[in-house]
Order: sequence, then structure tokens, then C-alpha cells
Amino acid sequence: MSDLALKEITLRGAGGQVIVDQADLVVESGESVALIGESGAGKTSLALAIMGLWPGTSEGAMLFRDRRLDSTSEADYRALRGRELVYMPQDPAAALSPTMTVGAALSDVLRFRAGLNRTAARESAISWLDRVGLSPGREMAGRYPYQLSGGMAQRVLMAKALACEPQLLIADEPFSSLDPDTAFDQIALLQELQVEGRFSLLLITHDLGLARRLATKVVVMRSGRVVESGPLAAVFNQPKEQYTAELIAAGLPLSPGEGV
Amino acid sequence: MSNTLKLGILIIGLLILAAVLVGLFDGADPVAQDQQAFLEAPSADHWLGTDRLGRDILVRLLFAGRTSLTVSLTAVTAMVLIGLPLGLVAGYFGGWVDNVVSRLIDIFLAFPFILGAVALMAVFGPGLWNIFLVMALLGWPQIARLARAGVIDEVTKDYVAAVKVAGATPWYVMRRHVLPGISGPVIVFAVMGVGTVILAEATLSFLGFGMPAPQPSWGLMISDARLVYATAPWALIAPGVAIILACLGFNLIGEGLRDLLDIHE
Repeated sequence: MSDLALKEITLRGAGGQVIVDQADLVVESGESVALIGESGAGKTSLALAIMGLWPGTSEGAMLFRDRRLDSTSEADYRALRGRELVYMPQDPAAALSPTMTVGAALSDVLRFRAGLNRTAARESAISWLDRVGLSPGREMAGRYPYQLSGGMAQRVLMAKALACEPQLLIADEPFSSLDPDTAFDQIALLQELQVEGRFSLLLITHDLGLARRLATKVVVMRSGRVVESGPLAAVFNQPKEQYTAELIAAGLPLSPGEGV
Repeated sequence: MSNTLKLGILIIGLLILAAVLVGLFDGADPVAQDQQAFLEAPSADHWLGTDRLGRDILVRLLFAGRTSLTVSLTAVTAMVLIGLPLGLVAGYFGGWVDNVVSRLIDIFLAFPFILGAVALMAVFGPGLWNIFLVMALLGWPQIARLARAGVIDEVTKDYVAAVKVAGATPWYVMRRHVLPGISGPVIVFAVMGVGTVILAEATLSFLGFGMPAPQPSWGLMISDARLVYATAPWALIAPGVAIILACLGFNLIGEGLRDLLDIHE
């Protein structure tokens, strides 16, 4: 069973303009799929639609495991979000509540989304902080976002995203605001956590290096259309479409085959 | 903690302390008359002198302080309790909810504060409870407007979007994320509002719409002393200074809190 299957999804903006045109996308269970393409290709719009937050209209079929997302009510959707279906936002500095300690933010997720009681959530939050490498977690839990570096905040976001053991994680341009060294550590951490948590990953990025490291399958989007998709090695080494070849040439100062 | 905040707390602390302690003295009666001393200058018997009915000005001043502090603190609490939830809901949900609340705010704010207060007090009649009611009724829209503006600013921020995507309910988002974000300005405004209400109560009483006559009130004392200020200036100066000190105190606390709450922004 695939975790996520989009069939001929068309998204229209508030004015009726087509933002995403008949996009197909499948994420098998436990698989990592990279959705790549230039800015404005419709990647984030598609992610919003999967989360049920697309403000315009949408057509097509959207399945999450055996569930029709396109006919799910807002209340049912809310129950999915943050539990089975998790979205990890882009900018870690902006995505954390400035008035809450990271421990409080994390325990809230565990209390209200995983159903733990206050003390259990607190303990679990601390152990999650340790797990994502923010140790000692007990001390880190008392920190406010402004006391964290970008990399540390990213770790908190990862802990928040994974705290409820999701089925599918949608990571929208993760690590893009981090310096390369920090990003490198974070990617390794995400890989490690994915092995433990066995969730499937939809990685939205324009960073082809990141796609190479994390994904097994690639979906290429351009101006709202899916132009190419397939296994990572196949797409990167023998792109069928001219656009994909250009994208790879533009993004990669690497020799063919490296890292794949 | 800044010196501003410390000074403000000191002034208000002393004021509250004095207002509480004066009730413990048996002889302290704000309406008792000393038939031997009308309009007497400050002396050992009457530290701040007496007024034209022979009442001790210091005692009246402190009892009036009780009135002022009670009215202003409860009225501001009521303002926040009404205004904050309404502003929060209006700003968060927008749409018709916002329209209803905002128009209500506009209607209330269309009346100049003192004019509205005088009109309402004329209807309700003088009295402590009525002053409180009128202040709360006329003051909440300002808190609501402030809260609404803060919420609108706050909900566009990424972290609020992030909690929503994580499946949070609107009530949770408002309570745990938006409310703490806007509480700083609201607290500052409310504390400074206490000073404003003290002044407004004095104004109303001065005009004869506030506290009824024998009751102690700073505004009433000034109104009384106005007739005799040439012969007994102390009767006028004492309540005037008291009003200034109280307003100054709350404003200093407000200023101090503003700096204190701004640090992490």
C-alpha cells in the first residue's frame, strides 16, 4: 500500500488560475521522494493541498494510505495533521513560538497530539531533545527560541515533527536556512530518525544535493506540471526531459553518478 | 528591573499600603468633623490641615485613595476581561465576527470618553458601583482594538501557521500562542489605563457625577477646596498631588513593564 497517492491533481488559485496542472505523485510506504523544481513550480502548493490547507479549489484524487483526503472533513483532517501526516516548516527561526520554551512547545505536541499527560509529555519532550542531539535535554527544554542557533531550532522542529511518530513527513525546503556544515549534520540526523521511525518522506526542495542524499525517487515539477518522475539514479543520470537535464546541470557541479 | 519600574512600584505600593492601613485606625473617619478646626492649616493634630467642614484632609485623602484604587483596578480588570477575548476572537477569525466586533468598538469609541461617562453617570446616578460600570463599559473597546491589532499581526507569523499545520485547534492556537504574543502591549496598556481611570473618576466626581457628596474622593475634595483655595490652599494641593502621584505611579509601572517585556522581541 502506498502512503500517499495523488492522481491528476489540479489546483486553482482564488482567481481560477491553474497553479498545479494534473500532477501525479506516489510515495510508497517507507520511501523517500524528492519533489524538485524551480521556485514557483507549484511544489509548496501541492504540499499545502496534501495538508488540506490549499485555499483555492482542487480537483483529482488524493489518497493517504487507504483514505480519501479530498473528501475528508476539516475536523478529521485536523486529527490527521501533526499525527500521521506531518509538515515540517521551512524556516526554523520563524516556526517556533517566541513566547514558549522549546520544552513547553514540544510537550504541548505530545500532550495534545499524542495524548500524554503533563508529566509524561514533559519527560518525553526531554528525551526527544536528547534524541535530536540537543543535550542535555533537561536544560535545553528551558530555552526560548531566541536562545537557540538556527541549527538547534531546526533540531527542535524535527523533534516536534517526529514526536507523534508520523506515517508521512512532508519537509518543505528543510535546512535551506542553515549553513552547509550544520545542514550536513541535520541531514544525517533525519536519515537516522527515518531508519528508527520508518516514516515515509516527501522532500520538497530545489537543492539537488539534498535530494541525492535523502531520496530514492524524484519527481520533477515545472510551472505546475510534473515533467518527469522515477528512481533517483535513472532521473539524475539519464534525464528524459530537457528541463530535468538543465536543472541538473544548473544545480550540480558534480560529476555524473556521484553520490547516487 | 529598571529604575522607572521600581519607582512606580514604590509610589503605588506606598499608596496602597497607606490606603489599607488607614482603615486600621479607630479615630480615622473620613466624614468626622472637628468642630474646633475649620480650614485649619497643617498642624500636629491634622497633618495636612482640615477642610471647610473641619474634616481631616489626610484621612479623607487616604480613604479617597481606597475609592480610586478600588474603582480603577476593578474597572481595568473588567475592561481586560471584556476587551481581550473580543479582540482576540475578532482578530483571529476575521470575517463577519471581526465586522460585528469592530463596528461595536467603533460605536463605543465614537463617544468622547468623558462626555460618554458624564452622560451615562447622569442616567445611572452617582455611586462607586456605577462609576466602575461606566468605566468598564467605555474602556473595553480600547483594549479590544489593541488586542485585535496585535492578533492580526501575530497570526500571519510563521510559527502560528506551523502550529495550525500541526493540527492545533483555533482555541489552542489563541490560548497558547497568540495570547502570550500580544499580552505585552495589553498589560502595558491596562496598567497605564489604571492611571487614566483614576483621573477620569476624579474628573467625574469633580463635576458632581461621581462619588456622592460626603464620601471621600479626590475629585470631590478638589471641587470642595476650589471655593476656599485663596484662604486654604492645602485643601486643594493635597488631593491634586495625590492624583498626580497615583497617575505618575501607574504610568511609571507601565513604562517600566514595556521595557521589561520588550527585551526578547
